[in-house]
Amino acid sequence: MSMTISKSERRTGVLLNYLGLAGVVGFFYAGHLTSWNYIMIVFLGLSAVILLVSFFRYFLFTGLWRFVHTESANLDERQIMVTRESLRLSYSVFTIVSLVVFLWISFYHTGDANLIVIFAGLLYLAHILPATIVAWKEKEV
Amino acid sequence: METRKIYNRIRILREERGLSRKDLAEKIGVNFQTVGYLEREEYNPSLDMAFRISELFQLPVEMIFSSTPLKPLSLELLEQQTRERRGE
Repeated sequence: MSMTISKSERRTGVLLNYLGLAGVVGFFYAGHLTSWNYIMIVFLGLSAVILLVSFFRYFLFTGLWRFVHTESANLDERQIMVTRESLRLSYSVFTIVSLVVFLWISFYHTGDANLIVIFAGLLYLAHILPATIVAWKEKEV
Repeated sequence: METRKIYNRIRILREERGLSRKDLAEKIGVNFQTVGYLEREEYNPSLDMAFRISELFQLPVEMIFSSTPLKPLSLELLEQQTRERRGE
């Protein structure tokens, strides 16, 4: 990772990227639900520009993207530890967020009891899966 | 598990040998930013890396790393000489 920018700038850039993502998803969803109008399209476009520019500037050019997408062989032990911790946290956050969204969709939009049970089951599976892998791989004392 | 801080003399040893962080990083096979983390004592190296560093500086591991704050090397050598003179 080649960090040529300060930590605060890096964090601001990453948050800006999230803002762009929220803008794109939010304005697209709002436009889809209501009727598309000129202002909504402008804001959607603006969010897309923020998303793309901040992604290239703060993820690609700083090497952050490569850092978590390269093989372990290209990283040293500290970098592997940092990547592992970030992936561990990402897994938790991503599974909780995505499955809560799916639960919300299946509950409020479809009301399908089967879907609610499936996504609730997936949410549970996401939590027990890491412990399952440990249970399988750990040797006896 | 809370890890305890490991103190080291990497910075002084590197500077004594006229090495840049990048030079040291290349010699021990890590990223130069990791050398910064090591020198600021913000990262505890693995046993393997500690041995690589000690082999590079040709010093015993315990002279480079310690679980207690390290005195300046010159002071430690002076104390050792004094102890030898006293026959301790």
